[in-house]
Amino acid sequence: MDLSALQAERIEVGDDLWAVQALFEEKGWSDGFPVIPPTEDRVAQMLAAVRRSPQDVVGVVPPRWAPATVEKIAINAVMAGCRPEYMPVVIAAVEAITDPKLNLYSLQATTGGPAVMLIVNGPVRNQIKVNGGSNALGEGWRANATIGRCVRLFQRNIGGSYPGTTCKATLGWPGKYSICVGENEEASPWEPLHVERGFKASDSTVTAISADGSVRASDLDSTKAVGILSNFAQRMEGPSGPEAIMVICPEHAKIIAGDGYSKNDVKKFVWERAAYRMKDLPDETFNQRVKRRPDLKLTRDSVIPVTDKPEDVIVVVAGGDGSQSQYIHVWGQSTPEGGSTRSVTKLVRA
Amino acid sequence: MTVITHAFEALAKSEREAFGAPDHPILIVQHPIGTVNVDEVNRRADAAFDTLAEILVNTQGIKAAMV
Repeated sequence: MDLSALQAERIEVGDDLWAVQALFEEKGWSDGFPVIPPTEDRVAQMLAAVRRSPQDVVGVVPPRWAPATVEKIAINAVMAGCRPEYMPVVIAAVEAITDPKLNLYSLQATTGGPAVMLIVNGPVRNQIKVNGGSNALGEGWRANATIGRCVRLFQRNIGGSYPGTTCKATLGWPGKYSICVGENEEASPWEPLHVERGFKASDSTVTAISADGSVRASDLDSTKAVGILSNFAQRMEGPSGPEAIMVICPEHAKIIAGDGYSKNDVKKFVWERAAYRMKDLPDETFNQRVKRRPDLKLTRDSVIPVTDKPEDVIVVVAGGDGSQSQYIHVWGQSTPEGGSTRSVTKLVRA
Repeated sequence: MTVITHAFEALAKSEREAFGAPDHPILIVQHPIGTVNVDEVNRRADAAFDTLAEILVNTQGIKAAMV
């Protein structure tokens, strides 16, 4: 790696790790957790893991709309604690989050405070140990923790997203630190997300999606699909979004598929039941809803389903033992044009 | 020009810099507007109207005004 190809400013700082952290804190370059100092050697190791020029622009990151060069991506990947072998996934994640369909600007500017969730599919999960099993949405796996963390650092350090000024989240939520999960394809009775979206099973992909909180869809009582899915649909009731994420645990998935339900059947089942009922709303809220979606011609007898179409419900299988699934709400407005944000899936290139 | 609430002032100024239009005028109105009733929104719109018109026609250019 020719270090002269790197253009980032060099900053001299002593070997004291606390002093390094203080510098990053003072400069506003951290998400609050300590960071790994991005020395030339460490950045070079990251760059050596991809066949891209350091100055290639992978995307532009709002709100500063600054170019995310491979070099800047590598620097932030070091800071997040990534291993060099994560870089192809990290690059694909940047391609996904900067795709205009995701509308990252609105995600980071809204008071809603969503995270950008990453779902990793394909062989790369096992190659770099992206967890999709026990505690898949929790702590304990470096790839999940640090690849997810990169997304936040890119928005902050490249995009200039700072809470209270250019990031307007009222509360935010812990997923904004990091939320990255592998689909548990081995334990899934259905085709994985990336195959649903036209990729080969042997491809590896990263899907980026707006996510603003989760609700546990626990069900230890049902032994039939209809029970599990009815219970799940109850968790999904409330204001709709452009998409919705069902993270179904393997035990639930096995029962549901065993009763003959395909992924599309699952989506249709919950879509027909998870709804926002106009009859339950106070007059003021009802009137606002009517104004917001005149195309739906809403009346007091109307229900607004969780998404505009059943196929907008995303189903992934993840987790370990137990009967604990989760519903993850997607921040954004359903609109006649398809929604204010849409999930984006990108191929991981070696 | 762009009308914003004051809670979004820093973001709006950052955006106009990012897009290379640092002199793009913004009119800043009181926050919030999402949780106030229609009468109050109308009152604030009426109060902002003259300043808005001034920004639109002022040949000297106004970078930011607050009402």
